Amino acid sequence: MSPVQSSPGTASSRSPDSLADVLERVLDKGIVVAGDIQINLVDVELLSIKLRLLVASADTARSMGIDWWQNDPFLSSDSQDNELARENAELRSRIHQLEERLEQALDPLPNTPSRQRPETGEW
Amino acid sequence: MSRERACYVFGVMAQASVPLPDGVETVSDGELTALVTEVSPADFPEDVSSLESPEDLEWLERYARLHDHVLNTAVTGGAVLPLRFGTVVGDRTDVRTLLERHADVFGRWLEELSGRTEHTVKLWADETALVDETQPNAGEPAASGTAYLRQRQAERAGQEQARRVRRALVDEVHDRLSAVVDAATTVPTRPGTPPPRPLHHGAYLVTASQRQTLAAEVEALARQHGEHDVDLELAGPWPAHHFLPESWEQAGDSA
Repeated sequence: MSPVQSSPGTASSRSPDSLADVLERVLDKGIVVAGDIQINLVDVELLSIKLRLLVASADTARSMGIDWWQNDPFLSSDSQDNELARENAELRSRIHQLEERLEQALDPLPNTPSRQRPETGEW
Repeated sequence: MSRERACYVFGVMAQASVPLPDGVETVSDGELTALVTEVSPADFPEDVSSLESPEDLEWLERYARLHDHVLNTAVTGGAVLPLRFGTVVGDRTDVRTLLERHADVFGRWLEELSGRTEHTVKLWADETALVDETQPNAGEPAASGTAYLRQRQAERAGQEQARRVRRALVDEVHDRLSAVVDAATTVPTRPGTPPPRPLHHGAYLVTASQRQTLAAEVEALARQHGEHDVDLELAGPWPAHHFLPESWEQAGDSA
């Protein structure tokens, strides 16, 4: 029996069982108990830890088109992309600020749409 | 690896009252039952640094789907506590020890979740249908610097309006659904999740009767916003993934 049900007329058919959906439900969820089991399990416990590392691998995720791990500082040491994204956001914000200041400066001017774009930029 | 076989543990419940997928067995101790399957440690990757091979990805998908499928099946028969993906212990004796050791906390959480299941709702909307105004002159080169700035100003005003409309819709949906359930939370969209991404993804913990109310409310919301191509996707029941203590240590501390 499929666990997925939907109300007629409201649900779309966006493949509820895509791998991305499954991983979203499965990874990083559930109760962690392995860590405090110390009974003759050393080898198997290690195996559990390895497994957790495996599913946190950025390479695996990227190749599956799911790379959210990269943005998790705990799971990923590869913060280069984050750095670029941060820089990008900062630059955008600065451009935005500059444009706003220009707008404020230009606002009192009459609207002159017919004016030719100046040869040497005045702004 | 010195062991030939090991026990993969999917989750814990009071008792498995529905048929479980092939290969899944139960191990009980006291009032608790663990859902397990026998695995070979050799079947698990030795080296986590070499993950590019298609076999590794197939392996991950196989186990992720199995984990998901077993828990989704079990929850149709009662509350189930999902364990972290990849929880492997040595043998059945270890499983019993695990149940015994955590009997208090497992029991308390199962009691809290008794008769309740998690359902998720994804809100999809056609962004262009949400905002009527299309930007005049959009895409045309501006005639002057001033015109360019006015155009940018208008664009930003439009984006701001679209953001407000989206926010209001998301709030309305989540507030109305939250009002008819035991507990509600927003599932954050992970950065890097491939599109299409829902406008809102909520998780709702419901009793059997609230489940009907939730479904009715979802339908009502979809009808109400139908003209904007708003689409609500109700799914479940799931194990209460989003209503569990984050780690076992925390659950133990608060006991």
